[in-house]
Amino acid sequence: MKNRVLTTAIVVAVLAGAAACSSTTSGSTGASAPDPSALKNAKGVTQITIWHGLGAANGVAFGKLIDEFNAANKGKIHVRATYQGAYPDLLAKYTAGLRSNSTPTVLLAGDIATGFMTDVKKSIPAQDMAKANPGDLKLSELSPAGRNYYTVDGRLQAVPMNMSTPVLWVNWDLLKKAGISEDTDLSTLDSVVAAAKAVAEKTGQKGFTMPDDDWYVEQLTSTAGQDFCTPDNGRKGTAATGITINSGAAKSAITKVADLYRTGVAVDGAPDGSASISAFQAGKVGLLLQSSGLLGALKTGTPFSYQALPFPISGPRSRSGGIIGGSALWLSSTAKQAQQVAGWKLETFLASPAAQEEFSHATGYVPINTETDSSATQQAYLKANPNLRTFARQVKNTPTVSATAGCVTGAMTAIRTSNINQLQAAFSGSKSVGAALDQAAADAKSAIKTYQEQVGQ
Amino acid sequence: MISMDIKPTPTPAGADKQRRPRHDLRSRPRGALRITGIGTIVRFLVVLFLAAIVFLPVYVSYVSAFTPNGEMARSGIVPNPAHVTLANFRAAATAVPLLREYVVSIGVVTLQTVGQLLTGALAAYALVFPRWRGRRIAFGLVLVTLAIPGETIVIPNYELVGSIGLRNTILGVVIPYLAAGYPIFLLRQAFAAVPVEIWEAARLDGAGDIRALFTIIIPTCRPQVTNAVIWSALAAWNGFFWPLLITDTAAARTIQVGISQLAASEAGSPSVIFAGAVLVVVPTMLLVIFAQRFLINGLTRGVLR
Repeated sequence: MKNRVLTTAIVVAVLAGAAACSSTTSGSTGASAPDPSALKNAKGVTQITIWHGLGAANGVAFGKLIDEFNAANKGKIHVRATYQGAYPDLLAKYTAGLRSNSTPTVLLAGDIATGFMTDVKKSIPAQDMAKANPGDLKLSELSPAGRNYYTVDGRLQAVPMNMSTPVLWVNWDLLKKAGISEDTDLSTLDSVVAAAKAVAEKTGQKGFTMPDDDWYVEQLTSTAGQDFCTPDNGRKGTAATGITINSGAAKSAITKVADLYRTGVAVDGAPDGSASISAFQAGKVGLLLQSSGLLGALKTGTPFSYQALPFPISGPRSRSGGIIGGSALWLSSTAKQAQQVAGWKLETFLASPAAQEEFSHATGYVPINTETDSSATQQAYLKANPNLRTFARQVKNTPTVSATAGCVTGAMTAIRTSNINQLQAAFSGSKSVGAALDQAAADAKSAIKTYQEQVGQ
Repeated sequence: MISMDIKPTPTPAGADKQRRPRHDLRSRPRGALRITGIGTIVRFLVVLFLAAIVFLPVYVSYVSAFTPNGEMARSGIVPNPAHVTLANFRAAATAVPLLREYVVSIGVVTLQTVGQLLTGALAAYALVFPRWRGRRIAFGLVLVTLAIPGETIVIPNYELVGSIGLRNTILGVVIPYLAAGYPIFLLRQAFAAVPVEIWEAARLDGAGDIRALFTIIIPTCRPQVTNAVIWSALAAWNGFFWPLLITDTAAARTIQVGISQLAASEAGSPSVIFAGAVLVVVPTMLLVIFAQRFLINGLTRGVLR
């Protein structure tokens, strides 16, 4: 797995420079977003493609939506959807495609691709398409958290398709054995740390786990009310130059979690999170930090009472909260104009309240269209599935500030890889937490510098 | 000393040689047999331990594939047989068009293996039998290709294959790998061990180069040829990044790319991922189990020369 990530990182790095160079010669993008007449004037069926990285049940649900769109647009538009690997592989493939002009009309790219996708300038910003096509998607209907994440330099770049949110999964059977009742407040990091220690002490099981994944470090930083990258998470005109996890409230929050591992209260969750999921489902750990996307897997084979609670925060509520995960739809600026309008129609359909409701029920992702909430079937569904209501409420209640928007830089994949290594060293005790975080910050700084040299920033 | 107790008896010349081993055996210090026994047991335990290290992940994969999520962690190393299920395989098959991808993978393996065997045998033959200036340098160049990491040539390959219109085809998946340095090296070493007189005799009897290669040299080196076939087939079956990069639709997708789809979600179901992994590993395990006789023979052949 590590090899694959490394391969992908190398390929993306090699291609990033070339992609950026070619983008500067092809002129600015988004200046000429086509209007509906481009599709109207097209003859025959307009063929478009969409690449995605949705696996397993999520991929099946996505395929169903594409079939529905094709059926509704028969004779006018036909979409071919293809799975192109998990998000990092998908990005490597897209980057290779840029060189040979074989990219898809629409790319469903993972959240952290935002910086890279903006930098290569091969997509028409969603804001421009919405302006040129007023009869289609209304951007004001999109979730503020989603818009906050995919807005770079003041413009919405892509249309969010699916949002996940980090939550605290609780095994109530185990917590009750440790004397923690269901009305105990677990909304702060300190209360979660105390509960984890109590579980480990009184039940003999482990108290806490999470995947050894940088996404959770980013969440611990944003829920401490701190920007992950400096300055301003790279979102206010100046590109990010470094990360902040080795200082302030973020360092304190990460240290508290690392101490749980170093004292044996927590169990290692593995970089892909599989060990954390297995341990939680086996009833061997009380508290788990994981994506809301885990709901589908927990529905089968979890023989105890479990619940999703909002991600614990350690900073002031007015400027702390989780960062969304998931992916967004990027519309190609090199496709033909008829294809671009057809692609926008597809994005409008995928982001519609009905499609979002269907996709949310099948996958556990939070709908990105706020109008979804006004549907009676959605309200009934949320009533019957309180965990989904928790996810939706958390996304809705997250303050729209730079900390919760998350960092935007094209070097994010490289930063995550080096952070995981340091994180594991800190958790295992082979390095002090301070030294590991300092090293992570130094590595991130050089990763960003290398990336910026490659794309000529 | 024990050997002092044994009285030498006069023996006819020649018989001495035969009896000496028995004498040596008897003269071994007391306890030597026991030490040998303990040594065997220790060796056996070490091998057992090493085998367990190798076998355990495979065992965990199989058991997890047939049981619900978390079952392995819940019930320890031996899961509850009542929980055995095929649901994970069903979920994997629903998410990925397994059968079609299996067929594509078999096609890729066949083309790539045959290609590597043909080019490897022809190159090795040319490097060993006919005498020509620069063949050592040519062999050196082949060896140099072994030191080039595959990742560094992915992009030039992508552009080349794309430019000749083979993107998104099975031929596009295999074409950069129709010749590989390792099978050439393996076969060149095998051919070099064949007495040159055999080749000369074949040539004298009127066999051309191709006939000499296919009817005389290759049959002589069957174990190493099998070894090369296995290596090529495993490499072709396990390819991931290149098939992903060069194919755009599911029709030309190999099973490795398809199976990765099971893990591509933020929090996938580990048991379903294991089910996919088991399905992918079965053909390679069968190949190695059935061919291991040749594999071991091929690897050890020539070590004493």
